Formats: sequence, C-alpha cells, structure tokens
Amino acid sequence: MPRSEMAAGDGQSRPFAARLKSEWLQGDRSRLARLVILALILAAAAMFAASIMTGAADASLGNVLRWLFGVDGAEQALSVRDRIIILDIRLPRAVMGLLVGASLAVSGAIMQGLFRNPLADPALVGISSGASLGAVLTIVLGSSLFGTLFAVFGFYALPVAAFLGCLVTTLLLYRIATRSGQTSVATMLLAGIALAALANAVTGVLIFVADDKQLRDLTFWGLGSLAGANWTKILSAAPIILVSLAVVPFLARGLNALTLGEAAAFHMGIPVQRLKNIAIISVAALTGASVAVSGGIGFVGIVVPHVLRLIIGPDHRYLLPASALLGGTLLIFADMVARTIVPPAELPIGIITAFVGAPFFLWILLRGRSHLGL
Amino acid sequence: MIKASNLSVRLAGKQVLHGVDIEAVAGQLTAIVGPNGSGKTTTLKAIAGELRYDGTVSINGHDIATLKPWQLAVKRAVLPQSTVISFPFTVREIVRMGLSVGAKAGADETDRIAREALEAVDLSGFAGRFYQELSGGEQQRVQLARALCQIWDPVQDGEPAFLLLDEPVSSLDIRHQLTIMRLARNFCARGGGVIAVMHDVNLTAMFADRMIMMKSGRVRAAGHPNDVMTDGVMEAVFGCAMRVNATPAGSVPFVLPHTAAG
Repeated sequence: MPRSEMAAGDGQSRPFAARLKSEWLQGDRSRLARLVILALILAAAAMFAASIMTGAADASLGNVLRWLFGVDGAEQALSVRDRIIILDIRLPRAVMGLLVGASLAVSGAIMQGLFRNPLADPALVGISSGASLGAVLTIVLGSSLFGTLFAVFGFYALPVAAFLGCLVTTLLLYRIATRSGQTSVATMLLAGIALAALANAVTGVLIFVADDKQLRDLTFWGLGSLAGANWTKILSAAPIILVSLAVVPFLARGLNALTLGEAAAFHMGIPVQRLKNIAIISVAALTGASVAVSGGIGFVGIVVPHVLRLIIGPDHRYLLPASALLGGTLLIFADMVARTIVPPAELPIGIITAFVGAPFFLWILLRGRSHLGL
Repeated sequence: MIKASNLSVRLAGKQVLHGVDIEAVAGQLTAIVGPNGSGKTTTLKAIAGELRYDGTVSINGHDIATLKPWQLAVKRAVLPQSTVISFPFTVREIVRMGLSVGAKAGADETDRIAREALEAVDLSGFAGRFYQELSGGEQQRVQLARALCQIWDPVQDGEPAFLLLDEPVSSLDIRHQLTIMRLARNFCARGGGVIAVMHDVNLTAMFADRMIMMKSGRVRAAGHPNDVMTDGVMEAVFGCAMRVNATPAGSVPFVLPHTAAG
C-alpha cells in the first residue's frame, strides 16, 4: 500500500500520534526528531543517575541528591566513604562516559557525512590509531622530545598530542581516499588499515623503548577504559570536547548538502573546502581528546549514528545532537556493564563495545552491500 | 546576464575548452548543443563556478570569481546530470535543502514553496518517498525541484536569477520532457534566465530562444534555432549527413539523419 494512502488511517483518538504519522508520511521527520532528542535527554539523565547509584557501595538516589543539594540530615545518611566513592570515583566516571561517548558518536556521524558513507568511523579507518600514536609519543618521549609541548600545554599535552596525531591521520586518509570530490569506500577502508598498521608499528617501537614506569602508564591507558577517570583527566579533555561539540551544529547544513556531492553542496552555497577543514579538525579534536583520556573505544561512532538514522533520518541538524546524547548514554551503560558483570574485576569497556559493535557493523555491511559502493 | 569570455579549461592535463565565449540573457532559454565530448557540460560547470578556468565569467556584471559560494547560490541554481545520494533522505527533505539557502521565508512559506516546486515537476504526492527508491527520471525531477526552490523568485533584489541545467530531460519520457521544458520557459517568462545543455536537437529547436553549437571545445555557431540549424552547420557539428526540415506549422526546424545505414 502506498504510504500516502496509509496516511488516511484512524488517529482521531490519538491526534498527536496521528499528526506525527501523517507528517512522517509526507516525508517530514523533524517533529519526530525533536521528540527523540527530548527522550534522549531524559534517557541520558536517567542513565547518568543510575551510573552514580550502581556499584558495590550502597547509595540511594534520594540520599545522594539530598546530600548534593545540602538538605539537612543527609550528612548522616551517607557515610564519608560513600561520599568519596560517589564524588571522586563514580561521578567523574559518569561525566567522562558522557563526554567520551558523545565525542565518539559525533565524530562518527561527522566522518560519515564527510566521507558520504555510513561505514566511516574514527576507530575503523585508523585515525584512533593516529591519536594513540600521538598520546604514546608524549608518554614515552614526553620529557625529552616534547618538553616544549608540556611547557606550553601543561596537563593538556596528552590530549593535544592525540589531537595532532589524529589530525595528521585524518588529513592523510582524506587525501588518499578522496579524488576530485568522490570518496572511494574501498580505498578509504584499505588506507585506514594501512595507516592504522603504520601508527601501531611506531607505537610498538615506542613501547619497546619505554622504561618500566612508562610501560605501566601505557598499559593502563591503552586498555580502552573509563576506569582511570578522575577530575584531572576530565579537566584536560572537557574543554576541547565541549568547544568542538559547540562548533558541530554549524556543520549540520553543510553536511546535509554534502550528501548530494561536493559540487551540489557548492551550488547550494556551501563553502565546501572550509566545511571539510572544520569537520576534519572537529573530528580530530573530539577523537583525540577521547582517546587521550580513555584509550581506544571502538564502534560507538558507527552504531549510534546508524541506529538514529533509521529512526529520525539522516538530517544532520538532528542527527548530530541526537548522536551526542545516545553516544553518551550508551557509553555510560556499557561502563556500568563493564564494572558489574564480573565483580570484583572489571572488563575493559572497549571489549563490550566491540562485542556489540562488530556484529552490528557486519549487519550493516550485509544489509546495505548493494548501495554502499562495495 | 551571464557572460563567459575567452573561457579555457584543462581537465587532467587535456585542454577541453578553447576560448569559449557565451552570453545568456534573462528572459531567454539558451541551449548548448553539440556531440558527446564537445565541452557542453564543462562549459556549464565553469559557468557554475565549480571548475578552475582561464577567462572570465560574470553574472549580472559580478565576476563570479569574486563571489562567495553563498552569494552565488542566490544568483544561480544548478541541476547536475545525475545525483547519487549517500543517505536515505526523503524527497521532501531533499527539496527543502534548496530552500535553506535563502532561508528568509517562514515555516509555512517554505512548506508552500517546496510543495509548489514538487507540483511544478509533476511529483505531487512524492514528498514522503525515499529518494533512493525513485527511478532515474524521478530523481532528476526531484533535483530540479530542489534547484528551483533555491531561486524560487526568478528576479531577486532586482537582478535576474539563472537556472543552469545539465541535460535536464535526458532520462525523462516525452510527456515529462515537455513539462520540464515548459517549466524552463516559464522561468524565463517570469524574468529569470536558463542555460540548458541539451542532446535532443529537435526538442531544443521547439523551446530555445538561442542555440549555441559546440564542437571540440569551441563554439561553432550561435543564434536563433532558425538561423543556426542549417544542413551545413548540423553536418559540420555532428559529423553525419542530416537534412533540416520545418514542422508543418512552418516555424520550428527539425532534423533527420539521411539514412539508417552508416
């Protein structure tokens, strides 16, 4: 049955749902998208609260809130130990989950828009490896070679180095995979493999020459985990992430136009080269800052935007904020699973995202093989 | 007026255009015709500003090299030969992309324009369909609606706007070929201008005010179809023996090849 005929269904009893449905049938998904974003804000808040309450120490939401807002008598309800656990362990972890999840999902969505392909993802095409290389370089050669970097950027040195590593890799990838405005998916994925291998090889050499203390730092950092979350790390990455996320909405209209191709985007008044530059720098900043504080966490950038596109459509004005919210929510959830599934030990979160994300990636591949240009 | 002077373009090291001069005035449908590889599309792309070229191109007296993309976008809209999209946008979403350029109108106004643009290309009722599921001809018409939205008023701030169409009817059936050509004429009648790259010489003769014949990257003839379409010019440009006739009404020339045999 044609969609236009289905529009005339019942719905008088549920006017709002009917209106939503009829708009959808007219190809207008904007109200639906705004509703989904609203729901995602609530979901993110709920997941954030759940994450703070979940764990070995017992702290009910009521007690925590009363304590946080300074209600009388709440002091007794929460032990000092619980307060420390909440304030210095769970809260930074939830904040970092939100920031990193949002960064990874938004990076994925931007990359996919830029490469005009739903399979682009920072971790898949090697730019996360570039970020890792930058970070490992600072950890191992930090004091000798990067003295100035530390002197200038202080504790921002790690995210800044990861950002630079990311930027170089992204630029290289774009140069290799895009020719006269057309991106070859095969070239993009294969070049990504090569760039990742190269970055990993250099990282390997650095690990080889690292001393024992540096090795400990590297291992701890490289697991892909939110376990090391603390306020210092958040302070080093949050400004970069928040500034980048604030820029991202301005890319939305350009990325929409880019869906029709670079020439068409130019015809429609988009300064294409500037759009691409800003998009690449944003991706590098978001991925770099995330990798610097949490190591490599894969597949968030590919799963989140794809699921959202199925529901609210590919309009980047809605897709980008929705990706940020869902990415943050999912990563907090994955982190909750990571720290509760095998108590008292903790699973690296990258393992969980890979377990969910890799089959999902294969599913996208099989489902869309015909029109992904593969 | 769009004016291209001494336009030369190199693509991949090969000289594709050799000093092309073209003028298109508002109120007229200017058609560029010629054999495959004669440089028609390249000329259109250079005029659209998307190719590096030598020479000058101006729209209403403004050198396009000095205009920002968003300034160009309110002076001309472009319909490419075909557009493949990478994400599942609906027809309505694609058409409205054209509207977000000017973005002066309110929500109700943009809705109305998008609807009327779809009506103009005979795609009413297609708003909710997914672009990727449409046929090639339908996709072509969606893109035309999108381009139309971009310069919905043929005269903006006292200046005529131009539609640049690259083979707008090549994948359409006869009825829709006529729909689109009439739409182009209508745009001209309301004060805008159209430059269209065309393959069908006879259809061009029916609708064009001016015909520019290209061959091997050069303009071979330009003028009203009645003046340009002669046996000699047609044979020289297309390289096969043709006879120019006139329709029974006597006003529009048409051509037929001499024989089916090579």
